[in-house]
Amino acid sequence: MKIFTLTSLLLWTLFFSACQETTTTAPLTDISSISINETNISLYPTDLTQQATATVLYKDTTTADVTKFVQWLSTDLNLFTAPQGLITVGTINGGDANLSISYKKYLDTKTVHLHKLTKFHILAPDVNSSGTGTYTFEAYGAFDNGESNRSIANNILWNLNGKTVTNVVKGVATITFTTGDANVTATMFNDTNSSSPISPITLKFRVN
Amino acid sequence: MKKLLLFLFLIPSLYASEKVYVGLSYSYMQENFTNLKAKSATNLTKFKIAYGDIKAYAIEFSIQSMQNKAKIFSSASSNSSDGDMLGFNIELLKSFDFNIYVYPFVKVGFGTGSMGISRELQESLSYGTFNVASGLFIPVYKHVDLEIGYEYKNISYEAIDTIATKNSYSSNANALYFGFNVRF
Repeated sequence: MKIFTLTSLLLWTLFFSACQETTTTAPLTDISSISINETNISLYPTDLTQQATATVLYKDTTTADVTKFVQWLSTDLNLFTAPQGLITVGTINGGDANLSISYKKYLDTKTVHLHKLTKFHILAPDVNSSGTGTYTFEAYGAFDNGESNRSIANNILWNLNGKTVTNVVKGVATITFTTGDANVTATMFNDTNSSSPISPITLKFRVN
Repeated sequence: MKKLLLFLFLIPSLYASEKVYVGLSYSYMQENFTNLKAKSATNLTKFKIAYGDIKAYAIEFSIQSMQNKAKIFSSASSNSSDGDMLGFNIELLKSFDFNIYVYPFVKVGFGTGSMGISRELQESLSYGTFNVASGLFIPVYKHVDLEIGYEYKNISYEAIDTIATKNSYSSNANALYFGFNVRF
């Protein structure tokens, strides 16, 4: 019994004599804010996408990329959506909406402006002279910010003799012509409710 | 599966000369984090209800409170330190009768609990523990015995959310404790 008692006392003495300090200065930093990095976000409704990014600021002034971890929200899904910050334009010709990120109690909001397309033109090959074959058609737009010759990659619908052209990549249509008359029509936004619709452009060809 | 079989194997052995007993213990615990430059020294009070034989097997259910003075998980801008750690343990105990008046024992088990912290996104932190202990039962009266021992805990904490990362931290804790048990 004495041996155990003495052993216990010895253990306790050793243990307490080795008492360690307690950490009282927090080694882990904490969150200060989150923010969308881009300011003055503006894009064209005829573009495909634009990537936005988000950053968390910690209280020790360090930062980290949180683009993939925050929730991205658009206040007008017809104007644009923003899954994981990838701003994808909708079917509306110009306007403003808010882009927000949120993570639990943290929030940041920026305004996204889409320039309005005012008119457009088609860069067409000389099908009448060249005859049958395959040709590419590309459209260029003028916008309310003064941009006058921007390639249209989105929100354009191509028709050949009333039938939708399916071979369209980034707005560029590839059309095969056979002999006879052919009408190629480009329609922007296809928005019948728009207060200022952009008139479609139709090109007439006679292929020999 | 092995743990389950071991548990089922041990249960019948509890009925040898089993008794319900309750105990109270106090310990001094030192905790060192394995993936964080931090440590703490805390006092731990444990109350247990158990069933078993002082000379054979027992199963112990305990609740514990650790008085926490460390500031490891809470934000630096917070005025408060980490909160007390409240937990619950289940442990299986095997003691030995060597006819030397005292009864050495070993026990193994696991626990869980939570502690209050002060962070922007978290107000509490859960943790789980794996416990191993050894010590002595020292009978002092017919129904009362003292208990002294050493306990090791491996503590795994819930992840800390910093949005960009969710880091989990763990620690090793060593404790010496003493207490008493009353057997009915």
